[in-house]
Amino acid sequence: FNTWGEHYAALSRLAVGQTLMVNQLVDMDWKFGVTVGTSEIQKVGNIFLQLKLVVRKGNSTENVYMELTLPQFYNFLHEMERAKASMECFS
Amino acid sequence: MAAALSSEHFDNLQLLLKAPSKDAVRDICVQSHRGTHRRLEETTAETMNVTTAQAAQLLRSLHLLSHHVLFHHLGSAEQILRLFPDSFHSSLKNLITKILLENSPTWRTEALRDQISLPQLKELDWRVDMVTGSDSVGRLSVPTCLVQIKMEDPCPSAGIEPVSTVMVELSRESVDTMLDGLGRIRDQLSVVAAK
Repeated sequence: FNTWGEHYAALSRLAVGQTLMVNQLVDMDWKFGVTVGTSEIQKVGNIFLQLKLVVRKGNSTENVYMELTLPQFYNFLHEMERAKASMECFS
Repeated sequence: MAAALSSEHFDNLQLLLKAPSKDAVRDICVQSHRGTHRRLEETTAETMNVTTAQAAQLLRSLHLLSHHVLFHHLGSAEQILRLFPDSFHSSLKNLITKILLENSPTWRTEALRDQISLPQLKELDWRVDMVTGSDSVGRLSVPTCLVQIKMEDPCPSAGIEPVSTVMVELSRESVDTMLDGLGRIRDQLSVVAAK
């Protein structure tokens, strides 16, 4: 009986952890750098950011690659902060 | 793509002296920058009263010139005037230079916008749901975050849809981890920007 009490919290977490998630985000990698030139313009100096999101689809994962400008990155950060704040309302 | 400007190209440019008006010259310059094609060659030949072959050569030379100016970021009249041979018609030289300078900022913006890139983030929407039950736990009260990411490929291959959408679900922990990562990116970026 006591064993149940001790392990209840961990078991609950495990059970919740098994709850279905669709396209679960598993990992995020990034790199950023500066575009120094293109075939059209010899000298450029723009920062670019590349993100790789690893998404679980069923039993395998899929990589999603995208590029962001700085303003897009700051917008992304801002939106995720708002999402976090919204989630915190519920705990 | 930048190619060498030869005297032959400038000979072709002098054909512009046959243009009916300055606006016609401007029009031809702007259109040739994007690229030449049969239709453009024909309408130019008609406007200028020259053969299609001559129009094609003119458009190609203009295209090379405007892309040379764009590639090397020639921003002043002196820099552009220097490209022309001494024998070149003076007023036409000034007119072409003026047109190139006027359009350079737009062309530069377009070139930067159209450069090769991974699909670009266009839109980000999110929703926080409360999961209230599942097959493993009868009663539940766990928030989950759904994020929809819309991306656009700036130079799509023919036949492929440029806009794609990805929907991902994040647990609370994942949102925290992601924000950690994004925070680190922001810190790294400010180090780079400070240099």
